[in-house]
Amino acid sequence: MAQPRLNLKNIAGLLVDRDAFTRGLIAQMLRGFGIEKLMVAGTGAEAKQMIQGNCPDICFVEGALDDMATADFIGWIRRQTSQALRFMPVIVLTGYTQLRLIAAARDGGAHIVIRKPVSPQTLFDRINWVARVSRPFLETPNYIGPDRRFHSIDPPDEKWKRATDVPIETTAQAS
Amino acid sequence: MAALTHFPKLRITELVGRFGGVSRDEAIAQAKQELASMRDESNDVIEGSIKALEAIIYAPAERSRYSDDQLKQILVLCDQIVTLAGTFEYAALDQTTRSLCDVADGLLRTKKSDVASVHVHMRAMQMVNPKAPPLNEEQIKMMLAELRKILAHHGFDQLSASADKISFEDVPTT
Repeated sequence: MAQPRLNLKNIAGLLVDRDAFTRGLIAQMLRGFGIEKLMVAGTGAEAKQMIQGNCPDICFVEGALDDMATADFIGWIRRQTSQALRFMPVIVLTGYTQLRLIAAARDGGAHIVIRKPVSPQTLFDRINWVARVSRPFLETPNYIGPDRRFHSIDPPDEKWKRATDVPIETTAQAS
Repeated sequence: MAALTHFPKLRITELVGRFGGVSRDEAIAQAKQELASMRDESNDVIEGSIKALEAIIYAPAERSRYSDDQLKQILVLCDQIVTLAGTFEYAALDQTTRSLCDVADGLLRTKKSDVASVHVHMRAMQMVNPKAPPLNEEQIKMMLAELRKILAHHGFDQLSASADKISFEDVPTT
């Protein structure tokens, strides 16, 4: 079967990471995918300024910024009046020491959280998924962000974690 | 405020579907090539971070304990090393540094005093630095086993074990 093609040439990306070299690594990967318009920032404040000047199509942000909590940064994006900004896909890249922040990033309204080190395969697949799978966007008093429920989608490794996590087909056959 | 549900049309969805672009294999091969060109520079960065770690680790705030600030600095430096070691597949350095992260994180959370455990990790990291003479598999295995004993002695969890299990990573691959 032919692989799906992804045209990232005209995508404007924003990459926020406090570490300059890590920023460079991820940026190289994204450029390798064909993203030509890539803005990079080292702090949340810098990223906010960039966002206000140019509306990116996708944002990659690390799990722990120096000047603000990543969840607050995402929350700020989700409260913007411009719809293009508010609904912008946000991918959080979390380092080993930031793993406890996964829940905060999720609750802040991230589309997806990826653990570092990020392989080109993982990054490409996640961008593809975020771009192609449309998810409802929820606005509630406690949460603004993409719908976090994935119950209609099978896990990629087909490893079910709970007894109740069985595919619909299996349930139908059993009954 | 009532809950609102939007069904936004994302610009990225429209753009990625345009004619042209690259296949998954092409994109990954190109990205890997870009990464490979950064390996030497990455080794220099790792060496620099290990030196920065040494400066902190061999100068504890008190004789038998590190300050919270020092432990946080250790975690930041280790985080960078783990990222680079993982990216460039330095497995021994990756595991050694993760172990130091677990110890530093444990000391920070429990307020325990221990300098020796951190020193042992530092020496181990120096031995598996990509620029150091390579150890054989048996030596690495033995070294990692000793590091695990330190973690067990303190009763510290691995950071990966304590992470929130509700990860967003479980999405379908294409």
